[in-house]
Amino acid sequence: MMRRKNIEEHLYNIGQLLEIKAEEIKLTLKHKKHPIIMIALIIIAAIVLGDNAMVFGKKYIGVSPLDFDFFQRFPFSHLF
Amino acid sequence: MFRKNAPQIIAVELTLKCNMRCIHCGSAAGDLRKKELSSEEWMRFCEDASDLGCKIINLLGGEPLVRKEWYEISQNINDIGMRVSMITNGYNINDETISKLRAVHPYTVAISIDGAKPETHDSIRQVKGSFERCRQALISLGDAGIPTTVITTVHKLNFKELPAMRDFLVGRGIAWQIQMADSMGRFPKQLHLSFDEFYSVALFIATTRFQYSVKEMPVTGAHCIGYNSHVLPSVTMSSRWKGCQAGISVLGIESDGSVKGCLSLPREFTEGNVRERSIAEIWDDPGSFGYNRKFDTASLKEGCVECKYGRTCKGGCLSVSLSEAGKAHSDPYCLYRLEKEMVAK
Repeated sequence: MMRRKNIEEHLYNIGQLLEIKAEEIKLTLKHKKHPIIMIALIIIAAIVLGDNAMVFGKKYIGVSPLDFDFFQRFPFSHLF
Repeated sequence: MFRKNAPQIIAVELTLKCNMRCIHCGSAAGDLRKKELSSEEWMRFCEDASDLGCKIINLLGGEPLVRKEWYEISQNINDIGMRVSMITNGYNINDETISKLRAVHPYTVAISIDGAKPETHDSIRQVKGSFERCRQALISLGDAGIPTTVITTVHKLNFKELPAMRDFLVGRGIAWQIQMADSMGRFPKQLHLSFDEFYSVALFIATTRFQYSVKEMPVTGAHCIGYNSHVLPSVTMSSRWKGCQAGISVLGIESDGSVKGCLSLPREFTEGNVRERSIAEIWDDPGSFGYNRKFDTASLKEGCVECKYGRTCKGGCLSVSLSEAGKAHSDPYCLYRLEKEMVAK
């Protein structure tokens, strides 16, 4: 496992190249979740929301799971 | 014939002719390539590509819109059941072009914009007034309801303008793909991003994704930005890099009919020519695209040897690896590799 703190300090310096504030970096890095936790959250959300998932996504996130338009805009997007 | 792995997308260099002389152009586009395919040959190729199972033809160049038959070829692609996308410099987009583009229902039209300031974009593209024409083209395409993408190729001259570009793009419903210029074609090596600059671009994409919803600012790094970061959330369209897709799910055809796994690869990676063999024959040839189809971890080179992600990553982007490390399967612009070096400091 990498020493995350060392990297974070280095990233704050690198972020200055593009005027990215340390706080923004910190929030972004903290945002990273373990994939298993993310999958569990998605499964729980799907069970709780059921058929309302589409409506919920559209209303609160702005994009429903069926709104693939945004994800298809990139000429090579589906390959990454 | 059923094919388990047909190319999903084929990048078609419709012509090498271009009305700009971008300093970072990897194809050194400008004049016609020798013996470019005729419209009839392109139409025949598209039918073969459709039979092969391809779903999308991505028209690019050079500049695809300087080829006067672009519309007929696009219509033909539609007629045989595939979708068209296009990467253009936007200079030739006018009312007539837009009405033709609408008629072919493109998957997306991507316009290259390389700076937030007109002087930056114009000096990189070496055409005065091109920024304003691109900006106008973006607005007109949006008004016409055509899905639009901006592609920005970053290097030392423009990467610091990314935040200002974001300010311009946010909330306009325009997707944004950020990619790194490679040391090939016309691009001078000294303008290539340093490792820290490269990482800052990845950081910029990650923080932008955190700050803005996908609806406000759909942004992604291209195939040359990413790979198994332990620190950043994904900066590309998938959560995990699946390795170079040249000859696996993508193909590139140069305007003289030469077939390569990816148009960014050098000429020695040409697998054949559609004038001599059909695209299906080339695709199905067991000897084709060996660098990816027969890849094994023994092929990994310096910096990637013994990497735990080596088997799927294949050493990053093959084109970047060749141009920046001088060898295959050893892309030094790898977030995971750079993070390991940060720890070692």
